[in-house]
Amino acid sequence: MTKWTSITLLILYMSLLIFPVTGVCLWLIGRVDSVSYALNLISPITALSIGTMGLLIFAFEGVIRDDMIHTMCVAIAMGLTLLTLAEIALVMVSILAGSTLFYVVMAFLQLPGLIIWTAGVLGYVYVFNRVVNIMQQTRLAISIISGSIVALLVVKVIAILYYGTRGVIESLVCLPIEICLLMMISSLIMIIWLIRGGTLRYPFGTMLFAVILYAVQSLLLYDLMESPLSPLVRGIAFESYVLLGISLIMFRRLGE
Amino acid sequence: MDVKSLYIINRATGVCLYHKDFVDSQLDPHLISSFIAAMASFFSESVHGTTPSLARTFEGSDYKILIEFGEWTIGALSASSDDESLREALRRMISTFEEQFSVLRYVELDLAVYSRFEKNVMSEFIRTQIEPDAIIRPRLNWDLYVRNAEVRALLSLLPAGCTVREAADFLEVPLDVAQNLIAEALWERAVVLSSPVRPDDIYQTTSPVHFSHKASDVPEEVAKAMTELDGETPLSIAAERVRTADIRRFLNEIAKLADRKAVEKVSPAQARLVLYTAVLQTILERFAYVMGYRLTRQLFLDSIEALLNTYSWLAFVDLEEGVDVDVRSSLVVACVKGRFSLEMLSDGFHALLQFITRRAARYIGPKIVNDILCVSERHLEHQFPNTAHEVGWEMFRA
Repeated sequence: MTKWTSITLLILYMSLLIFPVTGVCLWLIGRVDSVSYALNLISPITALSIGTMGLLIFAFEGVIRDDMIHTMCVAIAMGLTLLTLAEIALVMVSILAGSTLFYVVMAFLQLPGLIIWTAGVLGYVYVFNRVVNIMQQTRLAISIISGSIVALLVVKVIAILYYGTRGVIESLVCLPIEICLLMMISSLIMIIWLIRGGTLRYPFGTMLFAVILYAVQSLLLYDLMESPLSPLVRGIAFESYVLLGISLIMFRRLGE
Repeated sequence: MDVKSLYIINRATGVCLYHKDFVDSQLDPHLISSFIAAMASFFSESVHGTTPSLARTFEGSDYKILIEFGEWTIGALSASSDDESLREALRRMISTFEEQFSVLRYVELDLAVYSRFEKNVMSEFIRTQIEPDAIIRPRLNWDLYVRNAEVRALLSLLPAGCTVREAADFLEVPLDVAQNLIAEALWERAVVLSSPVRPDDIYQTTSPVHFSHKASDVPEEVAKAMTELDGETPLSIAAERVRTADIRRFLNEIAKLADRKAVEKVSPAQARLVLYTAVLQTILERFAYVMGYRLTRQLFLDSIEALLNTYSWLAFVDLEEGVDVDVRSSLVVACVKGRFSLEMLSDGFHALLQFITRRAARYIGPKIVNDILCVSERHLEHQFPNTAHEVGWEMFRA
């Protein structure tokens, strides 16, 4: 297992570097479109393969168990597998980019995967708090939700100030996605802060970085009206999936 | 009282140099000492093999005579069970005696052995038994045979049936002083001590058949609790399981059952094993929630492996599915038979807990480990209110 995971980790680290390096090279020679075309293909494949890898690593020992780290990793892998559909759909419906329908379709395709991610992370936070007893569970839930709402409001205000107002439907459909992502970000920051003295912070930190990247991608797509096929949007999503893969492998390698 | 008599015998001559009966005895100490010396000598002759054997225990139906050898003396302790802690105490006695009266090895002299050695025996076998919660009951007609003025004064002042702590409060003396006075009284056989049944005591049902005959008048909840008294469950948990309304009454009923021999308290080593198993289980479960089962198992197995050279018996502590602690029956039986001293068990488990928590701190940081230890300690205090503090809960400097 150690040898296998080491090779996978090496491949993932290399993949992490491929996008920025090749992107910059192609940009320098004026072939930005090639990056975009390549990423249209690579992003869904990456999400699917890393999701499948996660399921192969973790789901063999049971999908839902008392072990919340295990359950969280299975949730991340399942979410990634579901997000493959969103990645494929994004390319297919990119022709509708800018229309209300595009945002509705995209939001509904991304939401199931993100809900599974959020359930995995929040489930872990809930059990963590129950064991360590940092605060009452209701207080914890209120803190995470209110923190996420405040962060969302700040993001929305900044987006409106700099990029102007948007339609009601476009604004509403992306709310659950952004709330899910912000709840994950705040939960992961809390966990990393609490275990800052231990090495478990590294896989959680990688996961946090991945979720932040995914949130940036959503921000670009839904709030800053970036083109869905823009190399920046596609590249950030790709990096996010690779980082999640690295995080899953790091969780698997704990104690080895 | 677990200890009945103590004999220190000259190994060469078989003469009894010192003896003390802690309970009433009709036996001539010199007869016993001659017998023990003869049997020890018999075993040391290599009758069944090439290497000489050493007598360890002479076993009767209701008591055993434990034998330990010094350089030139034999120590014999008549006790109800062969317990490693009693053997350790006996070895200490022999060593002190040989050091204090070394001249007796070569010549027989009147060195006032009894009066000079009395304090040592008292502190080793009597004083250690006197717990603050023990109930003092004066013997009938104690005033006719007790000569010690301090003991007489103590017993004439004390109210009947009070505990040692209450006696200290009543006499307005420190607890230590009261314990010393009670030890003197016990030495004079002027009082008997009985331990109250406590919530974290562990009892086991001795015979269900016996129970069905004798214990038909016990309350229903206590009758139900009989099935819970399996030698592993503290009374506090048993009481919770049968949802008793009054824990004090429940404990009193258990005390009555113990008097009837329907239940018996497990050996101190077994109780300590149960305590540490519960501690280990509680901590591992919490670590598993935070770090995952796989990593927690790994930490546990690594810690056991690292400690095997020092505490080989830890090989009998394992994990079943998940992080369920499994203590192999060999270790349980050894504890039941008193082969392990409390110190040995505590040291091993304490080291194991330290190794596990240190390894866990590398993964989740010292702060969370401290939090988990605090939460676990509180949880264990609920199950074992009087003994949870005996576990070495070592926190990290965050």
